[in-house]
Amino acid sequence: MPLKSGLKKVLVIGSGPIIIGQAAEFDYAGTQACQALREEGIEVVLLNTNPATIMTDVDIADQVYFEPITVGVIAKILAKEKPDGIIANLGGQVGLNMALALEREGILDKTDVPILGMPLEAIARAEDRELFKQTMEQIGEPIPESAIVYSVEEALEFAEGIGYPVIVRPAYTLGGTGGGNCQNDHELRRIVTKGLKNSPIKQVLIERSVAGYKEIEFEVMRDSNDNCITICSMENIDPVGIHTGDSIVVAPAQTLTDEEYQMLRSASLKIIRYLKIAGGCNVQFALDPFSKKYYVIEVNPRVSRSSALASKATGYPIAKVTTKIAIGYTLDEIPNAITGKTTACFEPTVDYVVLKVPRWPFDKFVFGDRRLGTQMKATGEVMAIDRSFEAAFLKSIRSLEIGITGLRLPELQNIDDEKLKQRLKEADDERIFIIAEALARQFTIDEIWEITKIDKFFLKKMKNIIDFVLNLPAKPCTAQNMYEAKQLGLSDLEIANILGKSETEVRQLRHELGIRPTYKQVDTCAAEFDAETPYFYSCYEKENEASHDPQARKVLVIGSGPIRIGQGVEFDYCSVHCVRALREAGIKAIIVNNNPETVSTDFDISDRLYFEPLIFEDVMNIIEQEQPEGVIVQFGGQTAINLAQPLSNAGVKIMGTSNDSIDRAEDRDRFDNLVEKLGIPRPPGKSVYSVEEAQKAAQYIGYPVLVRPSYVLGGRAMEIVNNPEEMAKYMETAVKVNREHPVLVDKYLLGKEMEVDAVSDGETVVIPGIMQHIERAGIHSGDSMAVFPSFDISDKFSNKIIDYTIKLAQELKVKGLINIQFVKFQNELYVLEVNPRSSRTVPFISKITGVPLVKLATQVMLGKSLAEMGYQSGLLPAPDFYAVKVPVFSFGKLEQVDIILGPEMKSTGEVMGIDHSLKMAIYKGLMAAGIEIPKHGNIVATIADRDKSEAIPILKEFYHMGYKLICTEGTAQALASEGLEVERVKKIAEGSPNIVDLIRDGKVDFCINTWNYGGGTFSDGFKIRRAAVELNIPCLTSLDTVKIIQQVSQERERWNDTQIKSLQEYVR
Amino acid sequence: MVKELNNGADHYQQEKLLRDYLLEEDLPCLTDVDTRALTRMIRAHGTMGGVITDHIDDLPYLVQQAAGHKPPPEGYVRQVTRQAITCLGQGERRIVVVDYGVKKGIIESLLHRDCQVVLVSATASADFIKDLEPDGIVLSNGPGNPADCDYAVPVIRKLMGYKPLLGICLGHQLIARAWGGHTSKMVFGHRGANQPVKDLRSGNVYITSQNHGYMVDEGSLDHQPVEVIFRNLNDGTVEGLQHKVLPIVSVQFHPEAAPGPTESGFLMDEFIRMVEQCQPPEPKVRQSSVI
Repeated sequence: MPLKSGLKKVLVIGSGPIIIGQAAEFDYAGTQACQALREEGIEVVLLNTNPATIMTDVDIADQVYFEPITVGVIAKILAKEKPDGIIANLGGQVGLNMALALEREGILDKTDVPILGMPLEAIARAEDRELFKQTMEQIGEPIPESAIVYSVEEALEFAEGIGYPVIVRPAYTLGGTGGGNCQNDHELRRIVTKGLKNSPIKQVLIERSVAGYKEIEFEVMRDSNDNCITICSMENIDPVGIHTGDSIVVAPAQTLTDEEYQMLRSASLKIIRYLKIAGGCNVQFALDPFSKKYYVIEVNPRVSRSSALASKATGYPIAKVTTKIAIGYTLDEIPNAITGKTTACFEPTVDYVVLKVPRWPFDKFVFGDRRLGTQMKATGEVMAIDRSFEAAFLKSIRSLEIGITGLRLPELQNIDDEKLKQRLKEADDERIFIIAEALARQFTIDEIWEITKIDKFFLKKMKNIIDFVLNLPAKPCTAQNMYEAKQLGLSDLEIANILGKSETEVRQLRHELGIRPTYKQVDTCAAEFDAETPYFYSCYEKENEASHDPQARKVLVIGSGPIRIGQGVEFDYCSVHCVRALREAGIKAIIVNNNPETVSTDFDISDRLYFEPLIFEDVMNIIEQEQPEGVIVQFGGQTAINLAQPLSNAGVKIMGTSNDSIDRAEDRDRFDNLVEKLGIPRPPGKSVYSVEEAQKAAQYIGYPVLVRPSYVLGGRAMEIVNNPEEMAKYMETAVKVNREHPVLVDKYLLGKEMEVDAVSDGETVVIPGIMQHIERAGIHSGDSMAVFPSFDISDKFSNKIIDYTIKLAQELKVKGLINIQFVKFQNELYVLEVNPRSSRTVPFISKITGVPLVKLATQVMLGKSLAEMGYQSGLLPAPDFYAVKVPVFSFGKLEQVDIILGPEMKSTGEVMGIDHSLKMAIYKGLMAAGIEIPKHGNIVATIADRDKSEAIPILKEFYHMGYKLICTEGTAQALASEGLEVERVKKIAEGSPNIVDLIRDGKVDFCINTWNYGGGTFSDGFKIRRAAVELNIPCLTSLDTVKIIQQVSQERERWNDTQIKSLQEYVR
Repeated sequence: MVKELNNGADHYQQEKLLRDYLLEEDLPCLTDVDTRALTRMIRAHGTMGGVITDHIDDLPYLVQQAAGHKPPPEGYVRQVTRQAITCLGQGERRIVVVDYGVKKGIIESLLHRDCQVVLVSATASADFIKDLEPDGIVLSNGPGNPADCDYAVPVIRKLMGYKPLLGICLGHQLIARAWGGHTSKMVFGHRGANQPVKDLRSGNVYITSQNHGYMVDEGSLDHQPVEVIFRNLNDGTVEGLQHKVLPIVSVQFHPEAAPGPTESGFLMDEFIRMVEQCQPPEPKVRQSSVI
């Protein structure tokens, strides 16, 4: 069936901010969806709150609404835009939940706008546990014994009946929030309480644990003519029990017989047919490793993280095809974009091995609970492709950028066998390295299998690597041995480390031996058909399929790798825009990246895509293959910047701002000289290399000081240190983080923070706008609310900001982007940080000013001047609206992580609020970030002594607004002396019922907590914060945030009457 | 020929490693092949002869061997068919399967559907087959060029209209030839378990298992009372035929799919229904033994 008639305009619901469990994959999916719709001449109206995405660009959708994703807003959009249909299955769980809510509240009926592609009944059947169970029973597909419960008592009763272990899964939550494995009554009680709280319908499923079974996933696709195909099978290396988002996943499934494969494939098709889903769907199975017994664990009736992976793993554009199906096409009517000759109705053949490895945030949250279970904890993932499991595995490990070259972690070599066994059992984020260590110690495959239940096939593959590595030193350096090492996936650096040589030596030796990688095409058909896909991966094989055109002008753009805290989807946005600008300029844009969730790794974005690790060896190999005229590192975050020096040393031309300038901005002493020369003040500070030096420096500068290692990533290991004791403690942990570089000690200035992103050609410096942070300096800029344009900066200061920015950009001869952070302290403007590259806020500022920063920067790098393009130095005029960037955190998913904000970045994503009124813009931003301040209610305030004088006036305001204040002794006294009525509550040490009990009992509506900063996991402050976060109660740790929330909370009254406007209407 | 001969599989149903099986059977296996390069070569130059050897000193000789490879003059089918009749199962319906190189999967899928299966030689005469009193006849798959099996064509012609006929793969090509159609060699054939085939009657698409290098030329059947009921979605070639009046159906793919997707298995059911409609089953004396 062709395009549904009467379909002229469609509303697409986006997924909102990046949080654990809902990451960049929905930018990829949403972007593909919007493009697929516009190809058909359909007008696209988009609702999304995430400014860092490609999807929310004004040239992706006709109208982009940056409004909180709520039923009320959607109703307003429906009334205003009058679309003919809604697409909700590409916006993750958010999209599905919205579709259901629209139905529930009768809005679909009232407006008569259909949800396209996905029967609402299918969502309910897949998402509601009871309905799911009934559905599977109806079609005879087995599911583990389970019970839906609404209380802890029911849960205990059921578990008693079937016995432990059991798994708890709350209904309708992201990434399984609040679920877990339980071995006994005690654990069950705790997890069910949390799960009930997290589930929007207060429902959890208790089910028999099938931990240890193989976890197999199928990505399937169905059209309205009931044609069904399988895109890809995937196997979780970690057996059932660890969330698939936290599992290492291999595609295609490796350990199934044809019979098993067909059994599960047929079951998947049966399910998707019964649910009548039109589009992509993901089905997860648990398969007994010793029989044909299997269970259906989960059905996701939408495009998901797994489908993004399946898309990239096979080259099959699942999101695009899902969209085409939603608007009426059948699979056999949709052309296969890869071959151009065949149709989308086929099953891809994979003649390589794909591995996905999660990227966890425990480098940021060193004290977080690193154990893996049913709650997803990873913020992102990498994917690697090669011709063997071993090589793909090693590639994926080095793609993680966690400073590991192979499978063995040095620090694990010191732990004893017992401890090793213990950690094998616990399954934390270092699991694979622990297995590698055990293999190196000659634990048998059976022993490791006994503990981990990881299929022996995978363990043997790992053993192949370990055995080779252990035998390598004794082998002669022959071409054959080198070839074997490379085929197995060992990096030059790993070989160098094993042989005690340098990476350069090994590379040179390898070249002398004539061993260079070949590149193979990802073509969905195992070379059966001629394909034009410019999508390649490296391997050591006989034939190189990547042709080299020496005539073409080519530029290599380095991507940003896995999504992690501090380096999110915003850098993918920049990379994609850079690629586009290059192509517009008639240059062949080549991109290298390894993140399967992103738009940049869609094969039709660039002229050529290399899916490779972002480390020197792999990138240099591509450069040798392609011979580009230059490499762009400015847009790929710290990942790409880190490559600038080694590539430049190897004679590669880095385009734009010189390496030397990057170093002048990043190297402490050189930076000091720079600002001194320009007469720009900066907080006094020193670089130190030892504890003694640090103590001395801090005494000299005066506490509090900000300490951090040089070459930082998202404020990694940065802390505010108040006294010598804290300093000693910090130096112990931070120096371990990075031995090569010194630690910086700076005066900590508690002032107003401002930030600019500018584009420069070395002479002209264009500043689209100044952003002002709500929170004062000291809280990482990525965790602060940023307002554009600045709202209470005097002209004097704003002129200074402009002046300093121009001076710095000119002095550093910046050709491209520059980001500068300033602090205003006691009537002086200081520069805090200069980053001569694209920053986190580039997409935000580009969108709201309409200045295509990345495009301009790319053109500058290609030799155009800004003057030629019609720009002159200085600040562009401010618009008649405000845009507010609000950070979003994923603390609910990370146990034992302190949520208090500081110089270490902790947020995983961001949203934007936009309005003509500043307060309303902030209010919208907060709502979009999920911070809903109730009209009345109970506030628990626990304020550190040093913050009391500042906190009291704010709390007073809340009090007069009718909130009830609940405090422990100290804060209560301080407030009482101001004449406020306060309810006192016991501290934890004072026995029950105490402050934490109160929170757990659901009697608190929001928390303000500035206690025990850095006090560790045993402090009351920490326990209060965790209790709040786990029960999904807003908990604020910065008084600046509290103050602004208090000021904008009255906006609630105006909210319902607020008109909505699209970005296109704001920015003209 | 494999890219990687795995030594690490560990499946509960596994009896031995492939490597050991090959050694026991004295079958050569070439490993570490850049299979993509090989596929691309075949894609560009078509199916070709090859040599597996561990002596590559005399390259011109090997090239000559590979290029000079020819099928046996009597065709491959005579090499793989059976001579004696084999009778399997106790089912309600008796199906004669003409064995041109039949896959075990076809036999099993008939046995599963309550059939007695009588396997006869590729060279069996029509009278011989009729004497077995079958309720239906399956013309099996088999190797090589259908033109080499023209001895089967007159036999098939005589069976047409006698009892329901199902042709699979080579059997399908032979039915086409029996109607006077032509078959021709494809550049590199259809191989693998993911060939999309459209059922022109319902509009549905099935993913099928295939392994053939020859095809039925569609134009050659223009004046025959047959219609194309299946078509390959990748290249549009004929994948199935049905007689407009007689109970004769043939498919180029393997509905019994082992290995491969099981979704076109309904064709076997349709065949059984066809058999039932033609002659309601009545009790017969059944024997199960090798005659």
